[in-house]
Amino acid sequence: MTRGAAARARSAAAVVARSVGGDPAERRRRRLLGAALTCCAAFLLAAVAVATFGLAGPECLRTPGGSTVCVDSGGGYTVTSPPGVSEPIDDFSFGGRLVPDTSGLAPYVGESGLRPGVVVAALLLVVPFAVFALQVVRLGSAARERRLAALRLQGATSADLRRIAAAEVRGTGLVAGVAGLPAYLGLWLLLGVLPPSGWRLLPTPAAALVVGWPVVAVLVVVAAVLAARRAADVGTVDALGLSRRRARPLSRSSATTTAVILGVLVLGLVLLFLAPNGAAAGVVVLVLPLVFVAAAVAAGPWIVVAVGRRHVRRGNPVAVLAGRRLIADPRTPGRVAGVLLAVGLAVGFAVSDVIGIFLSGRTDPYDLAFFGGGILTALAAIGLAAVVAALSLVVGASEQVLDARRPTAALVALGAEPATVVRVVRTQLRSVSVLPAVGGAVVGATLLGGWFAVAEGGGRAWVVPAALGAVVVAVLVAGGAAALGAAGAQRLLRRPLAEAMSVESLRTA
Amino acid sequence: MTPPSTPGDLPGTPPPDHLAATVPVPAGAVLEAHGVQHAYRRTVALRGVDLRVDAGEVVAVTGPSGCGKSTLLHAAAGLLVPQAGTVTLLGRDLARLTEDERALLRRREVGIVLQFGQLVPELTAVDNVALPLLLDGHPADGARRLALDWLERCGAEDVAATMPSDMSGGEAQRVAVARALVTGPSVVFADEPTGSLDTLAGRQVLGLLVAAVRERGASLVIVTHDNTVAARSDREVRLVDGTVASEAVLR
Repeated sequence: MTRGAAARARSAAAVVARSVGGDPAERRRRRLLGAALTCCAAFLLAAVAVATFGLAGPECLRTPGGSTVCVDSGGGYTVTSPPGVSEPIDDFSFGGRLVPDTSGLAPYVGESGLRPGVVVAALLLVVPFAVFALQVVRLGSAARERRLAALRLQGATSADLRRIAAAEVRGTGLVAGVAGLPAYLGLWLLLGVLPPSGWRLLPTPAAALVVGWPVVAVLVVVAAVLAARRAADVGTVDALGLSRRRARPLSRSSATTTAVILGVLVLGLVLLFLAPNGAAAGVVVLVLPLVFVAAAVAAGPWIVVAVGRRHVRRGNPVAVLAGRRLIADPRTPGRVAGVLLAVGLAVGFAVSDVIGIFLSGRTDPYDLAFFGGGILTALAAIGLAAVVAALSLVVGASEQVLDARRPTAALVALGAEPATVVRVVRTQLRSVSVLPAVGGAVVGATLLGGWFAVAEGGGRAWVVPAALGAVVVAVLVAGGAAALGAAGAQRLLRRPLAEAMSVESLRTA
Repeated sequence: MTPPSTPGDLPGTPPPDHLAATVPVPAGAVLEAHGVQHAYRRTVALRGVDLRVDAGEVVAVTGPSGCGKSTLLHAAAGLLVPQAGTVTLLGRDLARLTEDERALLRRREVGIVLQFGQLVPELTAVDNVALPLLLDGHPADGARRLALDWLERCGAEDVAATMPSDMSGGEAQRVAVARALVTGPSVVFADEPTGSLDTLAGRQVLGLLVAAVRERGASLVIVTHDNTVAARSDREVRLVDGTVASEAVLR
């Protein structure tokens, strides 16, 4: 394409993006997208803030007794006390007596050896928001497909369509990237100022944050634009114009990507098994959660297809309809299923951890505060991820309900009771929430938690029953929470579903 | 066309009681509507319409766009409850039935064909046709065999395993006709069934629908603004601005 043609295409893209922006549904979509991307930016900045904390040199803090405690890069403490003051090193601990309270950071952040784990956790929390943003980018995609088809009919090239799709989200991405810093400051107030000393998770904003901010903003814009270009589904838009959505089965490239990520995951696990104390083990332990979440999100659509096929085999109309709908578009619910699989795994691990600590008979206040605080923080993060995943489920399902409102109304016209249609949606929601969450909980509690419990228990008699009990409790917690989430999602879908079932929907385009 | 089968015609698949009960088409009026009024916010669609359809009768409801044809059909089929007036379908006052009871009545004794087929996009043609039977608890194998039988009768056997997105408009309408007839209904409602088709495909689908209904002795209420469609009916009821402007007996 010549420079002039590209400029004309950009100009046309801007006109279309502006006119589409006037649509109330489009404005709502942009607000949701902006909120999701802002949260992504805020957690990325949190990762930057924690990762760069203490890089300038040892962090020195003054204790109430007048000693100076410097935390070195290896996580150790150097204590310098004034003459006549003697404070045992154990007092500079986390159990409440302490102190390095010029920052008041929790040891997970204060100690450099534990800090990478918090960075990984912050990065993991980006994932549910990114999945949510991806769902929102696809929101209204049926209408967008028709719009793109109409443009194609008028001579727009594939490149034009991609530009238009990119233009639709570029501005929103930029605003979200910029809003990331204020959002991070809000997060810092919540997690870095309000908690009591020794429990704070985010350090005071420093210069590194100002440097990281534009980088994160650019990252957010680029990711949003790439996602929008992909969601434009230009491959299915032809000049004859699309009036019906087509099934989008999973492609071979999707299978390859999933296989590669799973391969990396298995490789990491093998490395860890073969050399649990090797030099690379620390890095592997940190990277594995990220790889696992990537693998879960990549494998999610395949899990959804498998569940859908199982429903179809059951033969009853509710299961068949739910199964066919899952198979027709497995990507949207699959990403949520992947996040919930990871959430279930984390729940399994946390539950096993709690049971292991409880039964190991620990009484040391530092240990209890350290592990208890860590588990509470992890549970809060898991809860946040689960809530965002549930919202993604609502967004994806409402898109499908709206997109299929005419066939849904026709189904009711044919004589399907409204309750039957509701059961179809409920089956879909539960299939992509409860099953992955329970599966993740079983794996998490059995493998990670079981291993942890064994290590903690030191071969005591209660270890095996405790590990089994952890599996049961994890399944109940994860499954119950997922079922509650699915019920909440179904409740939020009540109105669009009722609209889809109404006779007026028979007239919709 | 050979006489159409009903769910009970399949060997080894006895019909559910309610389906067996629908096989003898009732004599007399299958549909009686009196003083039907309905409005959408400020737009009045029907202003006191009366309509009677006898057993075995093919009635065309015609009129310009926005005259209330589709609203009348929706009220007659129990898809909406009119704000005033009564609709009695197969001896049952629709206003006295719950939403689920109306759904059950439609599923078991009424067939519906809509303008764009409105097939369930995630199901193949054969599954779409089998769906009303499956919803009614019919065994899956029997339902699919009957669906295939009806697809063949409607000339759509070639697309039995095809998804709606890969069908032409005419093929989708043939499948929709098969779906409307598979339960052996006493009355079929069709809303612009040829409206989205070219002349030839429209003529074929209409011929198929009318022939199947006449052979069965069922009634057909067809909403259309196409005069050639109306010409194939027994009686034409013309609506203008929400009221019956004229009625003409054509056969």
